[in-house]
Amino acid sequence: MLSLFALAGAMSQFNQGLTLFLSLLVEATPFLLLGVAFSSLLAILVDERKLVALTPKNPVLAAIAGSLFGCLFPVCECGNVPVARRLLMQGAPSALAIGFLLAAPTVNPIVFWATWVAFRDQPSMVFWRVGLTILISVIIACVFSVQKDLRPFLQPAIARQLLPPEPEPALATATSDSPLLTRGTYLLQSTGPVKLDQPLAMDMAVLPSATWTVKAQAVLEMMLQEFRELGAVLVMGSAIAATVQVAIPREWILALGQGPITSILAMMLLAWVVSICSTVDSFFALSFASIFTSGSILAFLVFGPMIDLKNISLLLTTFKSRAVIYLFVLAAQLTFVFTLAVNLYTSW
Amino acid sequence: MSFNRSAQRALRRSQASLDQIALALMVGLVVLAFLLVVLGDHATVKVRDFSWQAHTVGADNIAFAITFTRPMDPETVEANLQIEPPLPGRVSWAGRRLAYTLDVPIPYGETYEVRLPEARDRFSIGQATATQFEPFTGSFQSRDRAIAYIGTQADEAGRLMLINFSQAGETTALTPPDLTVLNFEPYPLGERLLFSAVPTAADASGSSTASLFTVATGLAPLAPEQSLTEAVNVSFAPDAAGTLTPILDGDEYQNLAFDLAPNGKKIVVQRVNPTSPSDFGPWVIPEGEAPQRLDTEPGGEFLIGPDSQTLLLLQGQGTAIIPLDLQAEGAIAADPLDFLPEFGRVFDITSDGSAAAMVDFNQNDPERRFTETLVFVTIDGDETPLLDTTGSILAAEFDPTNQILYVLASELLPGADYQEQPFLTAIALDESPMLVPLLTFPAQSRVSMNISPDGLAIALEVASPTPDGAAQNLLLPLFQTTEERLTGTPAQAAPQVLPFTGVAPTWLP
Repeated sequence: MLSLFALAGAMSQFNQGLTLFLSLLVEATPFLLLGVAFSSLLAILVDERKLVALTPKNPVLAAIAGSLFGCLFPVCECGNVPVARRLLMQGAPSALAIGFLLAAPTVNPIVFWATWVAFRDQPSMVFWRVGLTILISVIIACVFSVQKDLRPFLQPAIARQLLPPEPEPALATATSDSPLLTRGTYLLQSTGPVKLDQPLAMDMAVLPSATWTVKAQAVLEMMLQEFRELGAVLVMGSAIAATVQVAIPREWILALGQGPITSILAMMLLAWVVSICSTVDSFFALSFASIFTSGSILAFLVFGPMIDLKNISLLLTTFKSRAVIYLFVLAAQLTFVFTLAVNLYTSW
Repeated sequence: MSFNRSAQRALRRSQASLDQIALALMVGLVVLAFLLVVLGDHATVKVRDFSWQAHTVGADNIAFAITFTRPMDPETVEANLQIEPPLPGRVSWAGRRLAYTLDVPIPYGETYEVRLPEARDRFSIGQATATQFEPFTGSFQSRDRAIAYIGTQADEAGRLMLINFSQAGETTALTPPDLTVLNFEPYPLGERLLFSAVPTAADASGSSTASLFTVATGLAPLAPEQSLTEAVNVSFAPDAAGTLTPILDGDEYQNLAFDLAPNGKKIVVQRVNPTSPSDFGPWVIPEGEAPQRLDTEPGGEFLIGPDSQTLLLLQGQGTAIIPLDLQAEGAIAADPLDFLPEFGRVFDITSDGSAAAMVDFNQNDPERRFTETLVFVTIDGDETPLLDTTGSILAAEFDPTNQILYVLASELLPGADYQEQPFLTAIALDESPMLVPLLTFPAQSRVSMNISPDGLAIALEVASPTPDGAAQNLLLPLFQTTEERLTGTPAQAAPQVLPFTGVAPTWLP
């Protein structure tokens, strides 16, 4: 009898987990697709040398520019990883890529609007959210920009594509390493190592004869390939997030407390675990807005889109675990300190 | 790999720099967070928003909200919250927001002050030192007590007049002398009146037909957003007192009767084509649009429902309920939603639309053929007879709380002459409806009544039966004590004579 109840309980937990898993996936997939599309377009249609020439050299300016890039590429935290990865591979300054990675899910028109609608009777929430996100993104981006050569912090597949800081003979090998034949095999769906990270624009640039149809086909192929790779990772991430949510019920997290300090911790943990997409998280947060402090709601809205359980797996496709830990810990600490200051020193 | 040894060395050097600075920052942030926690709470808890601040509220505003910057200790807030003059109500909480729901509609013509000198947030419950609280003072006012009427005396004759008791009884003539007003109805916020009128010169000949206009009263109450209740979107267009706007002319059709929707966004007019009397029926004028014929059977008296979406129209022997939604093709095709065959008249509908006061002429009961019965009909179809009379039911109006029905009816006096004596009574609408007689009028006098929007008084027009007897306007206070108001039991009181003489005295909402 007891085991029957236990079985029924396990079944209901499984069902709950499955629902959470599917809802995370359904919510994130369109944005991942969007991110992949932007990334592929960026790869094929934008000449990275021009892009690099356009970006500011000063790390602070580059970080600010990166944080504001989200207005051009409205992606949530699932779509920002492919674009940030592409920016890194295209040779953009690391400050720009990191700034984009952390800020783009929040600093974009869709999230702006959604937060505005959700917090209609507390409109300053929008400005706090965006302002704090940019501030934290710029700080972390500046920290990463100290590293002149980011390759040791990137996954080998990405690092290999990246040029070293000073032009070295490696440049020649890198370019001559990607002959048309390789791309051809890639287009033929080779089962070998994924070649989607090739600087294709470079090839396109040296191929003035490349017509729009060829380019469009290349964009499409790259999208498919990248989506297949990151989609699989997203499935893993969503499964982990769903499992954790079933194992640690929301009530436990919320029971951590509603005080000026504990509420921030509770809401940050909640943001990390529920892994909700930044385009809809303000509506989710709104249901807590009347119980929790403003600072803790702000922490939820700022920290959630930067790092959550689901997108850690996506980050790991680009960064080595040490870099992900730095991103995660710094984002968490900065969010905590700033929102704690908001709670303890402002009457907002 | 393509990295050579020197590159790897350089790499190791640069690798150290990110690790170092990241770790240093992490340690620094831990120290900073620790300092913040140790230094304690320096925030001041305060009221972030008071929903009625500087607004002018009316009887339809039933609750205000106070939003705090933090979750509060409910007991300290409820114990210290003061409203001056007192407004009985009850407190409910939704997180950081307090909602105060009034027990009875707010008395008009007052300025109120809300004070919260001290309170504690929820985090300091049980702690010796509480977070600082910024004392709060807010104020709002209720709408003016004002009556509009059609003047009868001297140069007021035929003109729409406004007397504002909250402005020391100031009287304003709203319409020009060259228009004779026949009938009028106020817009929901009292900033305009809809009226029908004929040119004064042509009035005697009777050749001219009535046109519809609106006139501004000069009042412009700043209504609070009704975020707590359903968002009620009402028509509001204030202007200087006396500003006339034509709504509908009487050139092609005669405008016989009209009703304004409770939200002020639709007008229904009964119209007839003088050249073709069969071309007769109700038309709908949506705000700012051309009149459209309501495609239904012609009927008699009508009333727009409290939802402003339905029309109750007397058709044949009963009352049809007709939708007022616009159809795509422009004409309004209206199949009745419902038909109540036994009720020949609808006097009033409760503001929530859940019940109506209707009259049964008892045509199907030979024994009671010459009596009329006032029936309380709920949306569930329950019918409760409230009053039988040998005379007639003249008017019935719900109190704004929907708990009392005021009825103006008449009784047939015994004797050879057919004489009716009007009387006013209140019926408390609880489990066993109870009649409270309020006033009896002289036999054969013509009486009309209008309940004030706060439900505290009735304005009456009593015209004596003699041909030369002038009409008198009376004010009947309904409650003597707050207790009576809260329990909804009106008491008899002596009526006061109002300082004007006019027809159809009507309170502005």
